[in-house]
Amino acid sequence: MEHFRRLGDVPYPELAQSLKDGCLEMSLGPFSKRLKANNSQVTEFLQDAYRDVPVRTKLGDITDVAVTIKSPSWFRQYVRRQVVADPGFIVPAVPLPVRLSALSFEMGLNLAVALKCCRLVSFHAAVVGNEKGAIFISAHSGGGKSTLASALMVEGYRLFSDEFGLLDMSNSLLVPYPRPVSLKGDSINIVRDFTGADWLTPVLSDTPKGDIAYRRARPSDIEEADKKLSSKLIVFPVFTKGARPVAKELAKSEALMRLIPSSTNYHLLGQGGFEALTAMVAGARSYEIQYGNTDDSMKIVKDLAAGVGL
Amino acid sequence: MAAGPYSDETLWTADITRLVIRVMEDVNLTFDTLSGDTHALNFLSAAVIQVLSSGKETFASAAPRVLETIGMEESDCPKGLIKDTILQLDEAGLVIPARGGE
Repeated sequence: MEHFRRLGDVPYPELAQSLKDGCLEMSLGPFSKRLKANNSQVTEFLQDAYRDVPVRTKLGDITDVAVTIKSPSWFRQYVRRQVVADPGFIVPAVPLPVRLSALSFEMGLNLAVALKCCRLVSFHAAVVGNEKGAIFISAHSGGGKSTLASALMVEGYRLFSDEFGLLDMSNSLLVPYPRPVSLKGDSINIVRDFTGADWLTPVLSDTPKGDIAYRRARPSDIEEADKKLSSKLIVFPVFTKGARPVAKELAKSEALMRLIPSSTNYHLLGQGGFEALTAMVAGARSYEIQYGNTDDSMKIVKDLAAGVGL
Repeated sequence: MAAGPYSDETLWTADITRLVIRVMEDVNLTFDTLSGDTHALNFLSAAVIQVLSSGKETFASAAPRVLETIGMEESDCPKGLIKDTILQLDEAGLVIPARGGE
């Protein structure tokens, strides 16, 4: 059986052929994925954004999820070419112009994980951590969680995940899933300024979500993707341009009730999900933070992290 | 308010065996294994469920037992508040009218 290799070490023709055949197996965090795409933009995006992720070009095992990037119709293969992500089950998915194939891939993979994951409680959140514990960042889209996670990475925290906070039901530990961090609009330049342009993919312009770029996970984030941590700090950032920075501690029950609507599968998991979430919240302190710029949010979170021993 | 028709003679009951309750600070986080819903209940709601799970009660007969459970006087916790709490718990599916007034 073929061994896993770093994706960046796979020659382009071999990678493209494996994707075309639907045989590319990617192993990252708790999920293995089978990927299929006859699409040079997806191939190039994977080589860039996922270059340090282990893959094999011949399927060696059953995978957790399977994502195919394909044309929504025969006609759209040739005229005003479009792509759509097929996560292996019927779900409404918006076809995108072929130039946005990378976005289609990311959305499709998010959808597949969010809707097919039944072993972990899945939240829309970003998570970073150090050897002492994790910071769980829960925010609506545009709340600044990806920018904050990127800034904390520069401060030495390892990336657990950007779009997903994954909670192990057996021990209430957070599970790393270090996919590229999705940056939108102004946050692209902010993150580029403090990480350097080398860590960002080219910008996808005029997408349905505005401009998007991805901040690659570091090799060390990926190598440590099997190391779970307990949550020590839960933050709910609220970005308001120009706002004065304020942190308000939340009751544990309020934090728990805020987290439930951000989960994609809590209602499917029953008592196990409740017990895991209760234990996670019980072991952490929770804050809502209001801020007007990234420097302020960083300062608040660093202070709060120090307060819980991180 | 209530999930369905009721009167002052309606007997109310609760099935605490289907609830998983974890007390966090002063809030009773309650997971309903039947509906899959999670509720954050205050001490009064939790006491109402506890009382109604041990026997069927009307609004009037439940009130003194609830007051005894929470250790308060009617002047601090009026019967109207207990009635409203029962109706809110009915809407949440955590208490139900006993069938046929049994």
